[in-house]
Amino acid sequence: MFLTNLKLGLKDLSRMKLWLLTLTYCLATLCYLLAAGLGSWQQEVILGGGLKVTRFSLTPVSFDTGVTTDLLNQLDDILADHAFSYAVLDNQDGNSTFSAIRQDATIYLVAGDASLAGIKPAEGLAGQAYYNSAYSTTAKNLRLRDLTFTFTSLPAGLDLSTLNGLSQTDDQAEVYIFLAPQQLAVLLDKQPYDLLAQFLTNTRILSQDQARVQAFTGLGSQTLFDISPLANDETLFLVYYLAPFILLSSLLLALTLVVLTRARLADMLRTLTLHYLHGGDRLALNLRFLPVPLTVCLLTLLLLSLLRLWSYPRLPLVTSLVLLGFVLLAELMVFVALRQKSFINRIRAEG
Amino acid sequence: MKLTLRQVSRIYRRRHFEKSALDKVSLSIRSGERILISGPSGSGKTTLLNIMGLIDTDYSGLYSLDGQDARELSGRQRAACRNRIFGCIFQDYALLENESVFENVRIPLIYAGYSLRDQRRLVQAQLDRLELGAYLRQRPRDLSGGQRQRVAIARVLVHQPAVILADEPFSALDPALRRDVLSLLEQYLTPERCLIIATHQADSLPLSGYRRLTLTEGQLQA
Repeated sequence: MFLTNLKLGLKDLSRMKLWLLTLTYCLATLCYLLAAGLGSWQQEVILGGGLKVTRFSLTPVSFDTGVTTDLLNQLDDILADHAFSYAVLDNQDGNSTFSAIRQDATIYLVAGDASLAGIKPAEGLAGQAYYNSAYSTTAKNLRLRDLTFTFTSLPAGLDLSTLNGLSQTDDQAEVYIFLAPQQLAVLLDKQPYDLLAQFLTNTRILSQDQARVQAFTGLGSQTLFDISPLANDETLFLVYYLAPFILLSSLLLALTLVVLTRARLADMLRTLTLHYLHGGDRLALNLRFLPVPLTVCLLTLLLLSLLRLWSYPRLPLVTSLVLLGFVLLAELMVFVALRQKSFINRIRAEG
Repeated sequence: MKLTLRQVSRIYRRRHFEKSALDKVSLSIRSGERILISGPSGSGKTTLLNIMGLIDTDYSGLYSLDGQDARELSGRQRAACRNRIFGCIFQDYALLENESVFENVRIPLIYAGYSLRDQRRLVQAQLDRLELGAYLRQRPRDLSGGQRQRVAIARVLVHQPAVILADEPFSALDPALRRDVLSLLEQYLTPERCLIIATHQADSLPLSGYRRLTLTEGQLQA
């Protein structure tokens, strides 16, 4: 009896192709939306496993660059712990060749605690230059201003994805230089102002270290910038716009799933009522509907595979949870729809 | 088989609405009996058949099958009784229009645990008896009104239930077809089986040998 109902359920599938595709599209979209939202939330709000980082707003207030050795030493001290900053050099000084065909590369200068940028492991990187694995380099050393860095290929297991997220391009050679303490002051001394401006703008300090935050804002009086802590605009964007949007979209998609499933059930109720009258019990009739949500889940997994989305972080976890929830919800709806009252109402309507 | 109802009442309740469909109905039916329940629309005929057919258990009073209180049966036992003891025929034939005649008729056999081969054999034999053997693969929507009603009857008779509950089985049929359908149902009767017909058209039918009961606003008058 149960096997026959499962077979009948599989046969039902052939009559609901469009419905299955619509449901699959809704489920796949819901999974992707939730995974994307969760990823952004995790990266921006729960950055570093619960660590909150303060960013800063810089307002130009003077034409005097005011770059002094003392200022650079202070910045070096601030970045020594609980802080992180970076700058991007588009051109290197011409002493190095980055590949057989390229003379240039984008150079990321990273100062401070790289783990705050999500780079793991962050230990043992200081004082080295790393090139991305897509390009080999013929250069042994990279000379920047008065500093010389030795080239090293990226250690296995080093995850630079967070930093890559700042500017990731596949067709460009990238070099990452992790500055050792005191190197920042040497690098910026008597140099064009734009590099210092980048380091100041991109500085992030652990919010719990308020003394360091205040020391950094105090640097404002020695530069042409007024520096003040910034409410994290990306976080605000997430909290006030993106999160409600994702929540609302997810709710609407979930509601669509419920409405579509209910409509399908309503179509099937006449069939199920006749089976009930002739000896079907609720368990057997529930089984008859089971191939429907299972097939939708299978199609959703197939669609996400075809779109090659499995490499997207958190998508497998979110998809598993969403699909499990969908199957449980669908079966619950069938269980409720197959109440005795529904059958009686159906029979009365027929009569 | 003995069906006994004692002081059975059924009230339908909605949020701001309450209607008494059956009011303290007492009735006893034995195997071999032919029962005709007449009454106007809304008098409670369908409700009474639903209770007797173990479809509706939300009633007060006592309903027993061979002395066994129907309320004490589990869901699975009630389903088994609906399969083995009762066969229901409805006014609109209650056929699955997108399924073949075979799929329609075999429904009770699925729940009786017959193999697919036995289902085919029994369905074919039943359809042959009702002169529908050639329509096994047809869909009900392609059949005439009389043929559709015979498919519905085939579905009930294929599993040889002890009690046939027919709710307005003649409403959609012309007088000639009514006599045919009645004749088919009566041919099936034996001393071990009984037939219960609920209709509001009792006067237009050539019914003899029937115990006549009348339902008026939920109350039964013998």
